[in-house]
Amino acid sequence: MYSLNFDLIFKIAAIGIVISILNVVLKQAGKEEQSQMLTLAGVVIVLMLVIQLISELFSNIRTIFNLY
Amino acid sequence: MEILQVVIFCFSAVIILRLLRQEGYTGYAVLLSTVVGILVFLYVVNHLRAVVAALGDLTAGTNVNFLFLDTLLKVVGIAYIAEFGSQVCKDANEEMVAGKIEFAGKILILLLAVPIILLVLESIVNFLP
Repeated sequence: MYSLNFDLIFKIAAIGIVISILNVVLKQAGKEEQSQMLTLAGVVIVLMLVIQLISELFSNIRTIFNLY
Repeated sequence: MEILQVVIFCFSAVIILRLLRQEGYTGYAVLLSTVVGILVFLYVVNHLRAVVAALGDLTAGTNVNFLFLDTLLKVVGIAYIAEFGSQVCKDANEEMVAGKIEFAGKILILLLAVPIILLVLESIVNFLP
């Protein structure tokens, strides 16, 4: 039974908020490029998580509905 | 009761999603809503496995051709994935992309239905005098 783990939800929300706050700080410090890099890094981290989940979802669906 | 867990889980996720959208981080909100959808499905998928196994045993009993159940399961699978994809796109306010996914889903389901239609027509022709 794949349990409904809340930590994944909080992890993604935390990454999003922290990245955005750091962005504001970087913009104050005048480092525009770093803040854009940081946004990219944040999205990439969250995407890695989401892609793992999507691949698990699709493999489950493939086995259940024998969609080859 | 599992349904209570699912509802509580979704409420907490919606609160966080609303917070994210309020602050303007819609990118993360879309990703988070996708994750919520996947987690709820993964949570319930094992019951679906039991239902499909029961259906399989049912058709194994009778001499019904396995093609029908197989195609039925494939159609349900395609419909579910197309629905999931189009809802994620709708959540990201991309109505056109969602429409394209649904369109592709319909075509693929039609493709799967053709052999069954042929079988039905064949059996009807055999009945005619």
